[in-house]
Amino acid sequence: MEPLSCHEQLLNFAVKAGELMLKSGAEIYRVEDTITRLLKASHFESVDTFVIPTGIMVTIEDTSFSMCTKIARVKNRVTRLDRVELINQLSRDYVLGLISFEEASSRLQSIEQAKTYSSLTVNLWIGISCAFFSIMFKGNSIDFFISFCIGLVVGSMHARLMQKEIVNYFVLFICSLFIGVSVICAHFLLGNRMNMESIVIGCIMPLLPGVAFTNAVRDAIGDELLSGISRATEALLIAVSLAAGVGIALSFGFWIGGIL
Amino acid sequence: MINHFILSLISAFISTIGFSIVFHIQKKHLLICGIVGAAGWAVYLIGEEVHLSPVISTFLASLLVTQISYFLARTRKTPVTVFLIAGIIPLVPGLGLYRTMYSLLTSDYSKAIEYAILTFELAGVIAGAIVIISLLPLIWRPKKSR
Repeated sequence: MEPLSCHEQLLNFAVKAGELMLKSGAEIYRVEDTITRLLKASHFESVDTFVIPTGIMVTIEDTSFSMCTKIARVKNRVTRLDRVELINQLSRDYVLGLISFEEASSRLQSIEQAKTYSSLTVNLWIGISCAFFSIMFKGNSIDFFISFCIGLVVGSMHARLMQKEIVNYFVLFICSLFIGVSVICAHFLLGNRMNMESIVIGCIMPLLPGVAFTNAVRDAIGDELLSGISRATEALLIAVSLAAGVGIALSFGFWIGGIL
Repeated sequence: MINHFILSLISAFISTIGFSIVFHIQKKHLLICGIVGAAGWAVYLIGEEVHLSPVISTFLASLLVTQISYFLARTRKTPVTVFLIAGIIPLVPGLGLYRTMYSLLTSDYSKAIEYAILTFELAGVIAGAIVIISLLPLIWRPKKSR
C-alpha cells in the first residue's frame, strides 16, 4: 500500500476530529463546522460535509487531485463534553495557524485517550445528584438516603450494561425497572414515612434525556432538520422507555401489595 | 418556607455539579455550571412562590439559563452546550413524566392527559426559550457582505 498523500492525511484528520466530537455529544452543526474549517484551512476548491447523528460524509475536491471522499460510521455515543470543548479549541488553534498539522494530530490523539473522572467518582456523583434531586422535589431525609443508595446502584448498572453494547433504550428500561422495583421494596419496608414521588423522580433524573433534548433544539435552530427530528425522537423514546420501566414495576407492586 | 427555599437551591447547585461530572465537563467549569443550574432553579421557585404557572416559571428560568450560558460561552471561550446542558437539567420535566405515568397506572385518564400535555408544554417552552435567546441577537447582526 502506498503512503497516504497529503490531502488524504488531512481528510483523515478532519474526519477523525469530527467523529470524536459527534461521539462525545456535540451538536451536528458544530461537527460540520469544525470539519469544514479544518479542511478549508488548506484551501481546497470545495469542501462538502454531511453529518447525521450516526455518520459523517466528507468530500474534498481540488485541481491537484481527483475527488476524495471519506465516510465514517459513528456508534456508541457517550456524553463527554470535555472532548467537545478540547477539540473545539484544537480546531480554532489549527485554523489560526498556531499549531502545525503534526502537533494537531498528536493533540487529537491525546484528547482521545485523555482520562477525566474515574468511574467511581462518576458513580458516587450520580448517587449524590439523585439524593439532592429528591430534596428538590420536596423529599425528606429518608428519601435522601434511599435515593442515594438507588442512585449508586443504578449508576454502576448503567455503566456496566452500556459496555455490553446493548441498545441504549433497553439499558434505560432495565435501569428504570430496577428503580421501580427498589422503590416498591422500600415502600413495603417503610410505608408512608417515605415519599415515593420524590424518590422516583430523583432517581430517574440522571437517566432523563436532557442531552438529547438540548441537542435536538440546538440542531433544529441550526437548520439541521434531519438531526433535529432524530434527536427529538431519541429524547421521546428515552422518556417512554423510562416511564415504561418504572410503570411496569409500580403496577406489579400495586398488584401484590394493593397500595394505592 | 425560606428554609425550604435555601435547601432547595443548595440541592440544585450540588446536583447540577453532579451532572456536570457525569457529563465529564472539565473541572474548571464545574462551580460555574452549578451556579447556572441553581440560578435557573431559583427563578423557577420564585415563580412558583408568586403563583405563576409552572409553564411560565420554567419559561423564565430557561430564558435566564440560556442567556447566562451564552454569556459564559463568549467570555470563557467554551462551546455553549457545556453550560446549557448542565443548566437545563433541573428544569427537565421529570415530575410531569412521573405523574403522567402514575395517573395511567391508576387509570385516571383525564389526569394522565392533563399531565402529559403539561410535560409537552414544559418541554416545548424550554425549547422555545433556547430558540429565542439563540436567534434574537441575529436580527441585529450586520448583513453579511458577499
